[in-house]
Amino acid sequence: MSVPVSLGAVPRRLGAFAWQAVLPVALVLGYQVAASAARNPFFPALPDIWQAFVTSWTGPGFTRDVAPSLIDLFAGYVLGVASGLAGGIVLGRAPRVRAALNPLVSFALTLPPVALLPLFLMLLGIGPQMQIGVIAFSVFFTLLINTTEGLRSADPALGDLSAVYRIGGLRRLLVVQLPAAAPYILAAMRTCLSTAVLVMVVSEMVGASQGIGAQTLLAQQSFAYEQMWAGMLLLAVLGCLLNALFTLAERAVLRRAGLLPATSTGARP
Amino acid sequence: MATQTIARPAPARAARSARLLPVAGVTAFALLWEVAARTGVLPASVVPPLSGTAVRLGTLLTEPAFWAAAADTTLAWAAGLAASVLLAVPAGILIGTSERAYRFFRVPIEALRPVPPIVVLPLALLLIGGGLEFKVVLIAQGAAWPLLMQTLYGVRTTEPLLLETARAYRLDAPRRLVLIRLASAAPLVATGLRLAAATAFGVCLVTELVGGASGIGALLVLAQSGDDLVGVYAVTLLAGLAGLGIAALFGWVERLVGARLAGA
Repeated sequence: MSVPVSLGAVPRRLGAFAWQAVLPVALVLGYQVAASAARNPFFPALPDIWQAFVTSWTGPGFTRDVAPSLIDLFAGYVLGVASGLAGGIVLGRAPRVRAALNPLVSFALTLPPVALLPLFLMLLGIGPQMQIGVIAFSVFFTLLINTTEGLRSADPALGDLSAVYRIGGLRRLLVVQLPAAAPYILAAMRTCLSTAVLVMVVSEMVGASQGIGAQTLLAQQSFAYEQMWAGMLLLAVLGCLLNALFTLAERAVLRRAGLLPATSTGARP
Repeated sequence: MATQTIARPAPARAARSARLLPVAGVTAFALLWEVAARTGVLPASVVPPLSGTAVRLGTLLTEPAFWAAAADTTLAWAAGLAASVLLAVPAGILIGTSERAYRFFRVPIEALRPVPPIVVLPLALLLIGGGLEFKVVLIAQGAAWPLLMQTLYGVRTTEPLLLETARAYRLDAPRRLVLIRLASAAPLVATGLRLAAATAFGVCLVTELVGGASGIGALLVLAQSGDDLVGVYAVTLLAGLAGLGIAALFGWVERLVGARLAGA
């Protein structure tokens, strides 16, 4: 933000920045000091974790484990978002169908997606199709319900306005209704992104021999604690990074649509 | 998000159809399932008939092993959720009340919030094994996040005028905290509690699926490894019903808190 800053405000801003940086720096340094003093194999020192991080997740490790995880995540997420959006648009236009399906959708929405892993494992077998299936399922219903809700809660005046200007059909959906529902849809997409990462990791822990989750659990079981920490680090970084990327994309979309970002509490109706 | 349209006086017929439609939907789904499975449209190796699954569900409810697993899951879920409340709500109040404290903790909170709650599972498994303690720790740290965020948000968005008024009436700091800040944060904390309860259930199942802890998740793994598709369907259905029950219970609490404070 380009707010004119007076000279006196600069040290104050620096002070505020330093104040925010104290705890993260203290946590990292504190861990390093404690770990290198304790020499406990469960808590390796940071340089060792970093080394394991580089050897596990770059080069052949990237193509073997990281890339498949990310591809599954992306495929499942896109599939779930697209189908949930399409289904939500249909339900948004058919209030009676929506009412009839409501109990089933509520059931699917409150069923923890991880509970479906054994079922999907039996139906689809071990492989990327199982991971993609469960991720897509976990995303689908939240998108479905929020798209429907977003379309339904749009200002009724928008509908009247579209009728007056004779904006109908597909154009009305794309130009009027979906932008109006965008805060709901984006809030759902954000919630689902973190759910999708979680489901990806658990699905790999339960039914895969490759992937970040599988390797991390394997490292723990085979006493390779540096690698286990490297896996935990990568998963944490992945969660943060995807969330940050989503925030950037969300802002761009909402700015284009002329809307303010939705609050994080509005994810579910 | 309570964006409700204003209810219009609907004719009695419409009201009746609104009540009947969900019942019709569930009935149609059940019939479709049964018929598709019986006629072989959906092969039995993919979807067993609903009737068979229901019968299995019924026999499951008579088995002591099932009730032991259900008790294990319920205990871990409740203990983990309680621990997360004890952890996150006071922390949220303490951090949220002071702007300085909030800024001090802001960066780690923002950085750790999007981290999936099962990231620490391998470490926890290593340090405390696969028992009840492991489940509770994992559930508590997962469920604490939505509660912490909601509490922080609620405490920080307290209407400043209310606080000023309370100060003018010379309410002391503890009273201001409880009567003003906590009361105005309560609806958001209740929402956080609903989210936390759902998260806790999910994480609980993960600890059983991955960590091998006993419970409903372990029953699922057992049925799956025994190639018992009907069993997997039955237990999955039960898990869904449990999720529905949790959502209904905490949704009710949320509405109750909201109504209480709206009326006050």
